[in-house]
Amino acid sequence: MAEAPTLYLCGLGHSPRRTATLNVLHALDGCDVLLPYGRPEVAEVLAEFCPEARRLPLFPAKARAALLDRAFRELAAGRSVGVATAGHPLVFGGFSEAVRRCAREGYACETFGAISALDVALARLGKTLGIDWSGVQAYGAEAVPGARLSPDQPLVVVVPEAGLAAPAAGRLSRALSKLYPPEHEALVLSPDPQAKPRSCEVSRLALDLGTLTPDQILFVPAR
Amino acid sequence: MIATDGAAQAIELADSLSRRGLMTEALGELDRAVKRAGREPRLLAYRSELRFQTRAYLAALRDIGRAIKLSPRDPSLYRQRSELLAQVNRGPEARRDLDRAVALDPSDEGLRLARLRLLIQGGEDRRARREIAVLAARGSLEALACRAYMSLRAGDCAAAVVDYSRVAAAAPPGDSLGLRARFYRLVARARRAASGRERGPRLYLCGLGLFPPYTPSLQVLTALARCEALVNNVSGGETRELLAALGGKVTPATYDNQGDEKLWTARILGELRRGRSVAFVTRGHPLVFGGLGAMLLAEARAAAIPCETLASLSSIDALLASMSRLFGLDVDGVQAREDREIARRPRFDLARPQLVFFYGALSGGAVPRFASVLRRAYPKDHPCWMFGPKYDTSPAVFPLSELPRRFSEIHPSLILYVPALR
Repeated sequence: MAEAPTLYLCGLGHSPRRTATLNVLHALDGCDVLLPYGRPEVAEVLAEFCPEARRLPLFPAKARAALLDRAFRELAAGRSVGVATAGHPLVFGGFSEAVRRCAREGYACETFGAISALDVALARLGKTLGIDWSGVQAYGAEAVPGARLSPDQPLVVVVPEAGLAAPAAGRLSRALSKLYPPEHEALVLSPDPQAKPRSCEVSRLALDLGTLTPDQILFVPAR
Repeated sequence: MIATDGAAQAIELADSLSRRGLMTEALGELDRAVKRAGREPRLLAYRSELRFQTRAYLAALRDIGRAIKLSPRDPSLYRQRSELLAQVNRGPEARRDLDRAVALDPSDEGLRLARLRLLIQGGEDRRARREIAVLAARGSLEALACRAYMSLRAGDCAAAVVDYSRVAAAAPPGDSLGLRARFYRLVARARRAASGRERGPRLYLCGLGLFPPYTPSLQVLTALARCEALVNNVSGGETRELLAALGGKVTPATYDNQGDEKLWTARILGELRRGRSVAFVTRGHPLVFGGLGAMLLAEARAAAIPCETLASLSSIDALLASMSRLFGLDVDGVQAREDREIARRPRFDLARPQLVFFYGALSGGAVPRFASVLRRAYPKDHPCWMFGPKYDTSPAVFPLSELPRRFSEIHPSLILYVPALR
């Protein structure tokens, strides 16, 4: 690519095999080097759709710092770099340090919207924002305990790429128990559109939360 | 074709007026010039162009027809008329005009490519393939891209990928043909996942994302390639071209008037009742402020027709990504609510961004209540960003205190972004 070295922060959406969008794949396809992060699915999508670009092996979900170091080494060598994650690198993704570092070191940084857990929840539940719901809130699972949530609005909880460790799952469970009555029913949505959502009372969620995978969504209807 | 000095001046003036959006004035200038020097093909051709832009299709065709009579050996006039005719779905006449233009100047590759594209659109594949052979022998990359498109449309994705790769490799960096080839190569790769047409009634609600046709998801492309009928609610030639490449029967669905949603719901249900798989294609996410999407879903469920909504890129996604990039901050939570909901239940998480949408359009006493709720929650000079109706342009930025003054300009296509307090 002839342009100045640019870092492309690219989200393949909530479940990459289904939600990666063409504009994002197009941007990645034009990069000199691709750095997949998180789930194996991300690397698989890149291999299938951008086979011409040089791809590094998958960086696991806890290796964000290592990935960024590598990305900036490639930028310093004059190459355009595509970082690809499931979801979005900046929306529940934790990659904002990359934007700040680009600004400090004088590199261009681009990003695009990605299909979020909220979009998937609307589609799976068949609810229309603006008609069925007059509002909605979407939070990362680890942000819920400190947040001022509105229990009278539907809540979409996004599971982090590394999953939920037991202490974080406990904090989330306690936070939800304070907001909703014990028998309030929450749903676990899987990415497969054919699969039925699994329901669970808020009081029993603690058992479930630790097993949630990042491609699942915890949905809590309004009180 | 050379215009006289007077005509050239009139065209220049009209051009400058039209660029500033002063179409009536531009056309007035041309009318006066045509009266002064009526037999001036360049003037008539330019007026035709402007009339077409103002949707005066018949008048535009009349003008270009008169220009052709005055200058019957000018291929550019036939080309211009063919473009107008193609736009009003008069494909065979458009192709005849380009045949004439090519006969007048067979060496003009641009004319031949324009004709080739019309042949492909019109389904004249045999003639198109002959023309591709001629142009490809001259080294035309465009012709190769056309061949790839035909392969894709016919479902031969492997051949399409090979040709698009050749175009992408040979085109200069950043060239629009190369970018397009890489885009359609992705479409071809995505289409490989769709095995055959889906039989039996099934409704798919498919959003092409906020920036069609560039933002469909992989699962939307697969569904579109499997459906027998595509009902397209997205305007623009590029979207039509993408949908046509996926091979199903495409029906344009425009609805501007009250009652049109019911009309289209009835038509789509009619197709489903005939046992066909149908995709309703729309911009953005079908269930984010999507009246027709919601109506279709409800009716299909009531009729026990299987239906599936596919998640798509919404305005909320694009907006959160661009603001996170602007601030260099991660988003770990967001609240998105209607203006009237905020007026009714003012509970904010001030540490996270708020999105306010105006789908329900506040009125009466609710307007000052909404404004005062925000005023109480945030400092007076807290900035906010108003996005829409076009999300690829810069948003309006102003302090929250200015919001009441802007209420008269607010409409349902806008979204207000209020950043977190830091």
